[in-house]
Amino acid sequence: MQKRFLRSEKRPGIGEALGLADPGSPVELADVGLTYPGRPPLRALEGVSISMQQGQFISLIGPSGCGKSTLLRIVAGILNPTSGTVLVEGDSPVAAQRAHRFGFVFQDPVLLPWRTVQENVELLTELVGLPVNDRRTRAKELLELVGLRGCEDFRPDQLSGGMRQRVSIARALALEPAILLMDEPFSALDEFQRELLNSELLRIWVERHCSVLFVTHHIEEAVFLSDTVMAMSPAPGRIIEHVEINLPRPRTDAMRVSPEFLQLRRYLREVLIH
Amino acid sequence: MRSRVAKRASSWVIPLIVVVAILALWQLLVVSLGLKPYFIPSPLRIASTFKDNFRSIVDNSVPTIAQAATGFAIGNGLAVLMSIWFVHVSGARRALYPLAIVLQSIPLVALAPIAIVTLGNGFTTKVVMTGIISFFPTLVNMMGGLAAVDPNMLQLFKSVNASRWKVLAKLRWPTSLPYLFAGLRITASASMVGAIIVEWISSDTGLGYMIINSTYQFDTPLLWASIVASSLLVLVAFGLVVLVERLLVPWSRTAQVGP
Repeated sequence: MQKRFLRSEKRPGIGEALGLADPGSPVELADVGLTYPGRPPLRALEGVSISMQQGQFISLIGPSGCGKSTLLRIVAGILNPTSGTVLVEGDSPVAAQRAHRFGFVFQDPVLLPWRTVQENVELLTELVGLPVNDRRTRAKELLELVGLRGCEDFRPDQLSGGMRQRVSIARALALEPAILLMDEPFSALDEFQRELLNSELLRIWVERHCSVLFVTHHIEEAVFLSDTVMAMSPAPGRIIEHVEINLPRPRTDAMRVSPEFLQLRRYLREVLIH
Repeated sequence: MRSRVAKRASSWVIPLIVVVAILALWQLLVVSLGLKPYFIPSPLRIASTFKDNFRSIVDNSVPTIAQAATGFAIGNGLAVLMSIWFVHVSGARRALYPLAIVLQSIPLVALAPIAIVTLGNGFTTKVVMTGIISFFPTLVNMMGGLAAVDPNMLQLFKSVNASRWKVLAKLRWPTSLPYLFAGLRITASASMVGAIIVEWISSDTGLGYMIINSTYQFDTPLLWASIVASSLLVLVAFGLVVLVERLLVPWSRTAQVGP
């Protein structure tokens, strides 16, 4: 816990830069709901409230169709909620997106097959018009960070699924976002790759001092990664349980079989399945 | 490694053996049954006719190639431009794309006489016909290709306020290239076939004219030789497109396999 405070102090948020005492929570959802009009209206989300701390790792977990990905899209400003308020660092999601506060990682790596790994990581910095040398250096650093040094000139189809997802994470970090929005990023990987990338993600998260909102349907993964796990009900999605994961950090693979870990896992399982 | 080489070789060798076997059987049947050349010529007879008339075949190929290539370039060029317009202006797409689909279903053979009546008998008519033939398959393919972008990738572009031009240049256009080449592969051979068909109906030069003329004169070996020439041209046109595709779109074959 001590370490976490140090970590968030090191990060100069925009709030501090503006001289505000309270830089504002990275993500603040108050009573957010989404109903699609129709007969009958389709209620996708209901009364969702989340208050994220600076540098926090929050997972949203729930059965398929519970609206967890929808919630992520609302935070990103892609979808508008029909009720409630969303604030990202004290601003609207659309404004936050415009200021490049988000990094996106999707279930599929969605890389451009005609670009090399390096060029894929440079995509967003290129689109915002960063000078060539800057974006090249930055992409190199990011590839090093995600453990892909030496793979710069490969094309995506020459990489394994896990490596492609690493490229996708590097790309998401290219504009130095404050918040990573991850939509089931490891669900297409096998169990070994998933566990490996879980640990890698935590390492990257600590190094980059960002907050993470992570959608998954994998209980063990949620427990391993998160500070807080939000369990959601089937549609209309509501947060039915808010579980603090008080396992020490850094998390190690050995913890996956510790009694505390297994207890949390069992508890979440009961919440979600019964 | 060795088995891969063997596989490569067998993909060439086996069809080649089959072709040679068919030709040998054909030769054998024609000779042993004593069939007359004007009824059905033997492969060797066709080959010698091809050689004897090589000059004339080349001379007649030139206008056919010119018509096909010009129509191919214009038709495909317009199709690409129009697909880009349609993707960006939904009003234009809704107004015109259904019409394009309907027009596509009109068979060329039915359209050719109309074109000749209205546009006359010259090069223009033939280019218009081969252009129309080249236009529709590529338009339909490009409509699919420009729209085949991953919604999440589009979202990434939007997240950095990328202009439509950048989305087109860096995302839609490269995404559509495999689709474009699928269209070009179809229209490369179709424009050649189209040029030949239009020459049947009205022309005094070209491979199509040769085919019709040798039929009227019961010069069946020459008929076969000009058919061989036509199919060689179609194969070359197709091969050129495939070659350019391999150079420009090296990811095309692997892209569709991966996730």
